[in-house]
Amino acid sequence: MGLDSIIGIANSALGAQSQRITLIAQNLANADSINSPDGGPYQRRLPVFQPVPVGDTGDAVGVKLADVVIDQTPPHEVYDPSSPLADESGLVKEPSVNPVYEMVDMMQAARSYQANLSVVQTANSAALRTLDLLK
Amino acid sequence: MAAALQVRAARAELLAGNVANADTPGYTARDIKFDDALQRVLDNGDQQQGGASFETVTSRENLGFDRNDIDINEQLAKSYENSLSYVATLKLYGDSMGRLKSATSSS
Repeated sequence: MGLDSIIGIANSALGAQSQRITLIAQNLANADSINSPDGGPYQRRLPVFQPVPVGDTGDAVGVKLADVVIDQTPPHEVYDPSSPLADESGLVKEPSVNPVYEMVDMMQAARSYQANLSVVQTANSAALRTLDLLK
Repeated sequence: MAAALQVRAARAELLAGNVANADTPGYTARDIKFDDALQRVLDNGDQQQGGASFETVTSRENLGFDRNDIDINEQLAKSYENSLSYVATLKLYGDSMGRLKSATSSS
């Protein structure tokens, strides 16, 4: 119980949020990848978070990245008959990544990251004050 | 006062869990009612108290599209408020210990 498990909870969230930012970076970097290794355009990756017990008692609830799902939105089709990847009608499939969505999601992830950092700071200063009782 | 600190620490844990799960689909905010929990600890005496032994209040209001009702700012504010109360209780506890110490040393 107590302040040490708070740091564990916040730590799990910091990890999960930074994995989320990694996925966003991957999506943004591949916003124009029209030829991914598994064929077709790059498909946007989305994180799925799940509560996870933290600490020895297990009643503290942290969070983890449980799964990465692929956005099933159909790819954009752009008319570019000169591209070697164009089909018979001259359409090229482009990733369904919308950079604006990704940027907004990134800001939200950064905000959550900061919130968890301040939880760590709060717990830390309370724990230090508790230690001061020994003086 | 030790009981109050215990409840504050358990509540801090729940609030930290809420902040951590602010983006988890289907997760709803958890909290404990301080007064009830304190009363329960006082009634039970000095038994082992984990966060689980407190009744947690789950609100099911304002569910968003991902069935998560957590407002991260609200939870952070609650967590600061809880921490402030924790430190205030700690200060009172420390002061009373100090008085006890000086009373026993002067006699």
